[in-house]
Amino acid sequence: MEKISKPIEYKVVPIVSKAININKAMNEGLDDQLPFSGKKRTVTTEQTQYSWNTIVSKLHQAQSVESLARRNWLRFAAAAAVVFFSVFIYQKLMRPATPALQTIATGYGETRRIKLPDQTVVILNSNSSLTIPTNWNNQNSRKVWLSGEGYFEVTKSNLPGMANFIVQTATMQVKVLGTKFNVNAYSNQPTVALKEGSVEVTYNEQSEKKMVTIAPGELVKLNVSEKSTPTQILPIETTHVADWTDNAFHFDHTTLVEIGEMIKNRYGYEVIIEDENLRKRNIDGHLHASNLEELITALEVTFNITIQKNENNKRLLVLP
Amino acid sequence: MQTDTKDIVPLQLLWDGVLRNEEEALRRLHHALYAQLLHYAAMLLQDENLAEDVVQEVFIKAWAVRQKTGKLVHVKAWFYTLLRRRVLNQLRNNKQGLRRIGLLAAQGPDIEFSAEDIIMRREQEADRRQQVRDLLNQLPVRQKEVIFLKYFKNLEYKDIANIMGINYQSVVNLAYKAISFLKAAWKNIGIQ
Repeated sequence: MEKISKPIEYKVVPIVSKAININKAMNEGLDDQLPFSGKKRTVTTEQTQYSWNTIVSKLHQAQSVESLARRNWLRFAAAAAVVFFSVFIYQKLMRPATPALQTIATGYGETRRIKLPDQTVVILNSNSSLTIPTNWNNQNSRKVWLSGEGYFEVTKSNLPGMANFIVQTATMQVKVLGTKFNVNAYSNQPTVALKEGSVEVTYNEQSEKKMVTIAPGELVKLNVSEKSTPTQILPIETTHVADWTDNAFHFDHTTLVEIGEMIKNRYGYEVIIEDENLRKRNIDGHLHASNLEELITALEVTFNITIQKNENNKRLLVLP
Repeated sequence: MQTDTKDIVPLQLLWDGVLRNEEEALRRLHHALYAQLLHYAAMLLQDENLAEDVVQEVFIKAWAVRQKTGKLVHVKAWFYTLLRRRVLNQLRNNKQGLRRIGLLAAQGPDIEFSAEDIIMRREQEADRRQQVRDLLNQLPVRQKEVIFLKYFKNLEYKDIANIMGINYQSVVNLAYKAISFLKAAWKNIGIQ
């Protein structure tokens, strides 16, 4: 991991930003900027709407029984749908524009410190992105979208005129009441760990909506997919919450396979461990590493193993 | 409708909505992706009407297979993949396509760039668009498709690999070859 840069002021970046794509291209190791770009082809709203209406009527046809009466009814329904949609669009146009969003993204091995307009500080881990509304409004839009991992130091929401701070990921929602916490949404077993304050985590477990509240020094591991283990709350030293922000790695009975998973998320290298015994080996304790090379060296020494790095196919081969 | 396209909820979350059987979520995905999918389909098929049909099929297919598909991380890339597969089917079944099938069987669909699609980074180079188009169209078909997806659709290499059904390294190699060719050719005609 690279050194965390100085705090930067919140900056507006359009969501489909060239900068982000170029960043990513550079991360992929190709200096391939070309002196041209592709023009976005636009289509009319009528055309889009027409296309959607056709799709809707086909969807409903596919779902219904093919009887004549049914089809006649469908024709009527399709016509009604068109009217309904027109009204819907009209209302949409009349309403003030919904706030646009911007995304701040980090590449592999990069972390970034972001200060939001409400003074909340977010440290974004590698290969992650944070999406926030352009027009930040403390009263009603303290909601951000996260993919990957981030550590949050949120300005208290019990002040007058401050909405609840909400972190939304693909699989959960973390509602915050002024606090310091880490959200890891890299994998299909996301975690939330709390340093101070309290948070409410809402998620779906087997399509049932669930909520869990955690206290400082607790880490909740969520079961949001079939593959993951049941949701559990584990104790964690508050000093180890988001220790990645200090380039530290804390391991607690962590297996090499789990470490491999973490390396893939943060640095984009696939970790190949073929030896069965190696896969099961685990580790307790603390490592310091500010980038992938240092981490590799530290792991080699700790586990007494050899790690071969292949830049071309982005793989790490772990050998006994 | 203007508000619709600007209201950019991450596509992942919209797909989650589709998984909860929300037709509204599919509608918003459609509105977010329609223009770019249509463009890609039209480039591959060289036929706007056929392209429209294929895009419609893609969304109907997406709805039909939603539960089987489950959670998606790269929603956009997944739709591109679905689209490309439908295009290949379309070309195989279509009589017009038969004429091109010899080419297709070996290397997949062909793309033809037009000058209108190209934006030069420097304004004064606007008249170079024709030259750039001619160069792009000289590329072998698969290199063309990689360049189109990378520079016209801003997709990442790993997504392009999925869409084209080839491995990551092949995509990088194709891009590298195309870019080397373009850079060398530009030197000759004085574009930087």
